[in-house]
Amino acid sequence: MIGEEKPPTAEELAEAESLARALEDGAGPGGDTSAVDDALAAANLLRASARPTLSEMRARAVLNRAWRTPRRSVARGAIAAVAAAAAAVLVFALRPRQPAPLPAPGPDLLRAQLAAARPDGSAAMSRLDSEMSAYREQVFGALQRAYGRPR
Amino acid sequence: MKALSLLLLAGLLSGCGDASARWIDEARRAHAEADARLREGDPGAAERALRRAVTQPAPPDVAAADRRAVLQDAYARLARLELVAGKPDQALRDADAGLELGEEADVFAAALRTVRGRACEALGRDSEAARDYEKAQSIAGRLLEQALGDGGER
Repeated sequence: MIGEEKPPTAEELAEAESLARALEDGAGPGGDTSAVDDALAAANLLRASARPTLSEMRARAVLNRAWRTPRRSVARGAIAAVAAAAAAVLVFALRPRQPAPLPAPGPDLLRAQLAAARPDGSAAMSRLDSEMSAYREQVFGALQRAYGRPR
Repeated sequence: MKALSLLLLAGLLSGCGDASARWIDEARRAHAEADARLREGDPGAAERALRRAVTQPAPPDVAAADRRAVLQDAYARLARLELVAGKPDQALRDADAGLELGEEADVFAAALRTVRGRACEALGRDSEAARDYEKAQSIAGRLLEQALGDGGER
């Protein structure tokens, strides 16, 4: 701040003289404009310091706005995380399921099947029934291991 | 809102996993019930239990091969019950319904061909029966070779 009661110092006088010279000469192409720039910067600083402070309402509005921005970004982040989790569940649920590894039929079942599939094999059908019944249990066991048990 | 919809859809789809387990469990129970009814001398009730199993729609996440195995086994058993009950025409329809699901070289297709052959034989369609037996023999023979080749019993 420049005090009016004190006389200007020799340094201030030199600066003022250099500013006046610069203004008279004009900032032509290639001219030294540093003195003008310094003076303008000093004037801006003085003007800014003379401005009234923020009113209480304005300060509150600025604070509110400052708080709202991070809150919104937190909400967006949460939504994005939920959406990403849902997408992961969807990808998992929609993947094509592989068939369950079923047990290979044993020779007894296959022999019963060969015997039953003869023109004279009607008597062998009951043996095929019982062999298929045992194999069915194995098949359902394998399916339940693959698909789980109902809740 | 989009996230909520995605979550809802994901929840529904995860419920499908339980639906497939339930479908398989119901098929197993149907066979168990059929066994119990046959022991009691009530083949009609056994047939109804299996008929319910084949009419239950399979959930979409059941693998096609597993769905086919479960249904073909049930159809073969139904056809066999119809044959024993003296209804070869119905037995033929059940065998055909099972084969329409696809014919792989496995025991389920072989069982269907066998019972179809029996039904055709009962209906006097001998040449058709012979073709069914031949197909069943071919599948079972190949599987037996594999089973023995893999170190199975001899």
